[in-house]
Amino acid sequence: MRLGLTIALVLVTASAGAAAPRRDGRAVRVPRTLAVGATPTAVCAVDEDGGVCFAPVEVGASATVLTRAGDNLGTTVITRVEPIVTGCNTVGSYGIDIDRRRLPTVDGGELTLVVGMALDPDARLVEVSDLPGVPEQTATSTVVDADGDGRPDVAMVRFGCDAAGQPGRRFGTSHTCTATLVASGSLWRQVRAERTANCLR
Amino acid sequence: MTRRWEAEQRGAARLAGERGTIVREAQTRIALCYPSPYRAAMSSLGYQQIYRLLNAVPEVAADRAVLPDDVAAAQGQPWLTLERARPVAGYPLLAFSVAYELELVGLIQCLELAAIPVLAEDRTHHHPLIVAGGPLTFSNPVPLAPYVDVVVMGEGDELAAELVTVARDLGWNREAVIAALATRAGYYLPTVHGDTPPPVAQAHDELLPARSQIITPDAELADMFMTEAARGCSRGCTYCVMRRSTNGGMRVVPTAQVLAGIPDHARRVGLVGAAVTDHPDIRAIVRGVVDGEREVGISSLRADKLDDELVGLLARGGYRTLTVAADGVSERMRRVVERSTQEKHLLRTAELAARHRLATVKIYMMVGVPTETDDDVAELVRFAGELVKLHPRVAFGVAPFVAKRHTPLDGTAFAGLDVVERRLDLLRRGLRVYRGKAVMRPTSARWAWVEYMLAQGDRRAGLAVLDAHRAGGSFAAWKQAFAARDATPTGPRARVPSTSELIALRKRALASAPAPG
Repeated sequence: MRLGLTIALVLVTASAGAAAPRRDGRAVRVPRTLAVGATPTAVCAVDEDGGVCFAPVEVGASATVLTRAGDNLGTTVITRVEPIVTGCNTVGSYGIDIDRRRLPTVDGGELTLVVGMALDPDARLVEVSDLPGVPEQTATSTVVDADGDGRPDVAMVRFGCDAAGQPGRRFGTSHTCTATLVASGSLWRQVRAERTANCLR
Repeated sequence: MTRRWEAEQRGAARLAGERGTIVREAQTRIALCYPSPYRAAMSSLGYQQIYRLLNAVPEVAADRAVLPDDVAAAQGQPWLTLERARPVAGYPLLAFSVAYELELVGLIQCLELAAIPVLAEDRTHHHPLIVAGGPLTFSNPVPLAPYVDVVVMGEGDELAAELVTVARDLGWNREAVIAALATRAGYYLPTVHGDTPPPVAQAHDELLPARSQIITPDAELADMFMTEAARGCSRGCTYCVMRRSTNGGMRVVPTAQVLAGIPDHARRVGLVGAAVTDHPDIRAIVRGVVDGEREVGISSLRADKLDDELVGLLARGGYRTLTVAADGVSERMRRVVERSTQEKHLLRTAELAARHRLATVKIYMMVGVPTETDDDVAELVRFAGELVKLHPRVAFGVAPFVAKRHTPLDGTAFAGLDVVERRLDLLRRGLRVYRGKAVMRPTSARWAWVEYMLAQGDRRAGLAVLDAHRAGGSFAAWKQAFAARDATPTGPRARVPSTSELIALRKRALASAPAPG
């Protein structure tokens, strides 16, 4: 979906964000595995009841599974996909199932999936207090260190926004904006952006 | 004069029991007020921190004044500061720390005792500036608007001193002070901003950790030295004001700094923060405290962070009750509010408490959470049976859910008095089968509803506080006051759905879809 997001998510320098990691002046090791594959990059969440992706994904797509505790459980494949239709008949997310037999047994909790990007075995989730251009107050973000060097490489952010894509300062907003960012040298490159209407609860 | 003399004597007796009282000469004196009684005031780390910081400003002294224990008995006498026993009304500035919505009543009582017009619009240049700050400002300070001139938003560690010096330099002139603060961040000025407060302020890291200035036996946390181990929270619970999106998440205080700040004379140490056990070095901190032959207390134990070592240290540090929060009454509800605590963590908590011979396991829960049903409460009753097999004394502290501003669940309606009371009753009756091994300690559904009306209300709700107070403060008076002021809470809002909500939505859709073929 082509968006008119007014926040400068496209080609924002990481150093522009207060707490974003500085990438200036260093050679970024971009692992060969970091290359974006045929399947567009998406970040998804899975728990024992199923999963959700915030961008379309395909059955059979390979996904790397990370835990909040910092473990990389390996890769699996998506076995089922269907759009999640909200109460106001909007679709902004996609329900998924994964092949859990390919993963070690984990003890509950939410898992993060990275689709369309083969990650290093040392890949893990990292905490970044904010990302450039993203409204801190309402955003949730999932940030992945794809090569195990401790620096973020790919991020998925979701935040409340209005119909024009303007971020909301409060939690109550008419729309959800979702952006997937990939670090490229000293820049964050936006590879996906979606905006969908929220429903009144 | 006799009653005033008695009040002075009570104040003097309290000062005599304190360690750390600051009595200093200064050209500028302000009153630092607390709208609840002394025992609560001295257990408020924020109040103590501001007391210490203001008294460090050159030529400024902050004298404390707290709501009397017996407000009725204090009527007709001047409301006095503790350090100077001077009438509060004679100070040029009164700064209140307000913890939560229901303390608005205390603020009104304080102003009445001081014989200061309660409403800001009724005050003139003869009256002091009235300022408020404190935890309430992180959620909804708008109901304060009819009563105060300035609200310090969020972390006031730096702004409190700035405000006092600005006001002093402008001769305490209300209009001039408001005009000056309107150009600065972190101040909510009701006459300027209306019902839209600006964002909360964030104090500089150098001012962390907040710590006690005064230790006294006459406090809810008796003889306890409090210090922050961390400020903010890295978790994302959707009902919580202090979550990872608040002021950049959790800021950790280095272990050495926490331990070095504990004075030699402190025999009890309280580690304070929204998620103290998320401190990466919490075991070393607790060990440092108990190795010094001190008792320890932690404000926020997370069940998923407890292990044998930590609970063992807490037992050495004098713990008798292991208190954790689960908040949702069932596994499903905990996912709805994105609380990471699970049954397995609570079972482990009970097991550890038994192993270390702690007398009670206390678990905080909420009822009336969105989408909750009676079946969720039934799950808690069943789960209590598993807990009492591991520990003979389990207490559930149960509070009705109240939606707060600046949280993902902002705007969620109160579940209803009938619903909340029915679920509390279901739980109470269900736990009877455990014959006292599992008990419930609920908070009032009615007061939770009042809190909700203020948490989701605007200045009309604020004005209803005065009406209800003057009508006697009964629940009926509150209901009538809200209705008369047309104080309707914020309705449901469209908002960003959480991942767990979307997964649950899909699960329901799949379950209701017709079977193939």
